[in-house]
Amino acid sequence: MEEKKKDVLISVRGLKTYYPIRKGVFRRVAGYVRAVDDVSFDVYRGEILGVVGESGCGKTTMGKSILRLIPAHSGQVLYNFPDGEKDILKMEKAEMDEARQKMQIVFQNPYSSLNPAYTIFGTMQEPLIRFGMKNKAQRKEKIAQLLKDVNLPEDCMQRYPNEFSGGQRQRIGIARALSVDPEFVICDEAVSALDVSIQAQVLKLLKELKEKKNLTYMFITHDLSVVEYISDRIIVMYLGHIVEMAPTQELFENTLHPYTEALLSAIPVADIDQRRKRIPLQGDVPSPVNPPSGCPFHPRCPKCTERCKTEVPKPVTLIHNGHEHMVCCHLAQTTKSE
Amino acid sequence: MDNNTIISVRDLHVNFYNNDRCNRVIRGVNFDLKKGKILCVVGESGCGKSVTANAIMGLLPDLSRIEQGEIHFYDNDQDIRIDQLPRKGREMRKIRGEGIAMIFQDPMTSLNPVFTVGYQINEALLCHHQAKNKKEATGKSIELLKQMGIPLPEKRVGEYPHQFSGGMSQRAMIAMAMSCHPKVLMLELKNQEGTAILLITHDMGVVAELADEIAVMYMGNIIESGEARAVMKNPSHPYTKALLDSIPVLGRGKDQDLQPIRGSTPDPYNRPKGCQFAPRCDYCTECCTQQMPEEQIVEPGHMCRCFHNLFKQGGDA
Amino acid sequence: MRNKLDRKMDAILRREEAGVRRKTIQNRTLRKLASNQLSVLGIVIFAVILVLCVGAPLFTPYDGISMSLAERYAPPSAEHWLGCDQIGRDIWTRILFGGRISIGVGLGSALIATILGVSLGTIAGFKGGLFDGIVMKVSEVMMAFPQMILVLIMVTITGPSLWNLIFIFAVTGWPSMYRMTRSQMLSLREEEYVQALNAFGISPMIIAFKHVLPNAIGPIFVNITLSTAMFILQETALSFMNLGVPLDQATWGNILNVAQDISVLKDYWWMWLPAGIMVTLFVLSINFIGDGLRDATDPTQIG
Repeated sequence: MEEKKKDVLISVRGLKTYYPIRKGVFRRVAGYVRAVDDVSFDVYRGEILGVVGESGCGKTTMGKSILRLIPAHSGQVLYNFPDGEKDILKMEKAEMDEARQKMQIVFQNPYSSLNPAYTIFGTMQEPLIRFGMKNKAQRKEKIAQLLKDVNLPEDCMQRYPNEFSGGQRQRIGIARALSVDPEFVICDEAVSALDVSIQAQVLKLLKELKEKKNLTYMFITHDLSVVEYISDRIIVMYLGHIVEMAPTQELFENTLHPYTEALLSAIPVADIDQRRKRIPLQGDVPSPVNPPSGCPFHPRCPKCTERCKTEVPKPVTLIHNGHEHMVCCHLAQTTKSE
Repeated sequence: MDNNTIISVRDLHVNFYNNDRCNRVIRGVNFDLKKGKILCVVGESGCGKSVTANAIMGLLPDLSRIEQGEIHFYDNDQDIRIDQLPRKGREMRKIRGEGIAMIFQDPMTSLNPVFTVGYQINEALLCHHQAKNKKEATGKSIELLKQMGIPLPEKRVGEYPHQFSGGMSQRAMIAMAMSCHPKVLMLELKNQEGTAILLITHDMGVVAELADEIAVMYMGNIIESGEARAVMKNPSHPYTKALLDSIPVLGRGKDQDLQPIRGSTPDPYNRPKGCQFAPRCDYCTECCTQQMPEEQIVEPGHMCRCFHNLFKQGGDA
Repeated sequence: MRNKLDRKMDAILRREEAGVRRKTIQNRTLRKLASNQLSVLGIVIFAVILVLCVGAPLFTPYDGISMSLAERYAPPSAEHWLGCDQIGRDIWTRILFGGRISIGVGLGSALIATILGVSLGTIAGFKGGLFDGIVMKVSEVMMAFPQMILVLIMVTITGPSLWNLIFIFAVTGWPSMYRMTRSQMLSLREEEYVQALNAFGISPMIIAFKHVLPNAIGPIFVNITLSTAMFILQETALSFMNLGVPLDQATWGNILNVAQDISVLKDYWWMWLPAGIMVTLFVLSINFIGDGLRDATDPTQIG
């Protein structure tokens, strides 16, 4: 089990993000939406870590909690700085400034992620000013270079967002995230809102930029074919929990969790030869306010046992074909661990 | 015209007149929708696929109109010309619902949040005389929700849309659309029984999974259409081929080679003169920049509008 | 309805086919405003009255203050276009000079109320929390308090004066601006570009005022015009009742003040009717502009 040779960039430990539900005149906290409920994982330097799950499974909340865009309830996000590991969630303002230049995010909706009141230059120069680039000519030069990196002409700078197509806007969003030269970028459904032919352009661009700038990505999406294409390793989330985590090929070839299995079978594949038998998922995702007892997936699981209804499964890391394969299921542990 | 055809669209042209400009959104579209078949209209945003559906439903916005062409709706051997009916008239209202039902893209905003789901389905049933009284309507509503696979329909029928998840709202919408046994169901996403379905999507996965026939649209024209297998296995238009090469396919692994289509869709107010796809096409030649190619039959039931017919005898398979 | 739209579409199609691009205003808001006939009329009336009042000395040989006993109650004539009042002052002149004060009070109060309401609304809407709660309650109290009583209290304490009036209007006018801005901020702060700025650690105040507020400018402008019209009417009403600007300063309300006298009302129409028409025209023109602006900045309306 001691295979810690890989360079860990971020370790997330026991991260919980709860949204309070307030009720009544005095806005008393009546309960919590457990959007992210105790997740732990490592992000290795230079990898593309895919995060998949249905809408509402907490994947976006998890990404934004890591960046402290949404306050986390508890847990640690340990970032490996040159001078050692530090917990992002406990940083003071000055330290956080440094972290903000290391970690950036690309948003889902290209139409709301650019301010319609400003030109591209106006939008893109803000982070540069924030991090001390006082000279306007210098900023112009930097922005021109960033736009070139995402294959957009320099004269885009003086135009407003409404003059661009969705794909172009998304590239501007990528350029903005890269303006502070980060090492870690979260792509939150970065291609989901784009047309299919444009998705490929942006996916290729993201891959190129990763090589060119030595980036590490966390790629959040609900689209399994996209995540298979782009990721080195995949996290599958359900109801705020990580149910399975493995390298891409391993996950697809040796699926251990019944949820991942169902998810894979439910996705329509763009290949007419692959019309196949599905495992329909029973019912709907339960409410994260009152998560089910035991395994969070048990009410919909075709293989549910008595044990699943009462006992919460512990994550177990198995070694299969030399790959670390984490799974959170009683059945997988009993059948595959010998 | 065989009698399985429910909707027939002939040489449809639709213009939009927003911002003091004229946008020729639909530029001569032909297709037939047959009983019990699923026709998928595929295309990128702005290609005119939703406008086509709205034209059939008589739901075009005020500043737009059908310039030429015909939309026939065959209802019990009656030939109804939808393009000539007043958009907000009584006949059109009767067709919407009883003849053709449409389900909108966003299930969360298509249901009225102040009424229970059951009440809204009852309304549709009562309004189109599918139920005599409220009690009968409620019974039918429960039955419809059950058919759609919604658990505990007796309880769900009294709940409000916000208590439904996205997927359930979508199914409730389908239940509502199916409540009056329409002849055609137009979906902007998912799918259903015996009726003809016009499925509008940009998700090739859904298309591969469900379609009997496919129509690929680009900038206001159907550039390729035919039986699903024929179109997907043997794409004859460069755009269809490029589209299929540009999407990742589940199961093909990490090293699959994606070929993005270069450039982006042209400005609708400043369209290319000839073939709309010419500026992005690898096969573009002189004649492509001059005129839009006519419809060609490349094999029985497989149409393509391209000068450089990529059709291969026998196909890839 | 259908035919009118058809004709409009035919016209556009003909132009498009002929290849002529009609010279149109590129800015969508301005174009929609320009195509709204009522608001264009409003802008014209507004501009004419504004020019007349601001350049008052250019349009009249009198000063509107000096009395002339010989010309008391003089009816309209070539020398005095709108006649003279009970102490022989030229009415046309008084309307022009009075307009300066009336418009100044209306516009000035609206601007002060706007600055106050928009600043508070921006902060409160963007940050929420305790500050928002407190300001919200204060604004609710202000809106529930009868304005007339507030005016009476102020006037009894300090006596009627121009600045009192502006102060009262600003104090009673900000809550509506505040609520409007706050609701705008509440929806705008959910946009993803706000989160993008947060991801760079940019200070919330810079985000709120520099990046989000410009997107709410349309409704703010509409509100300024409508409050201006409201304040001009209120000034007129208060001055009519001797509670507004002191009578020695001409304002539209003060000119109308004479109409309290039933004999003036009956026999000397020129002493009050023109001032009344002026107020009505001006307020109407502002309302037309405001309605036009509201439609023009509403993205859901076609055009």
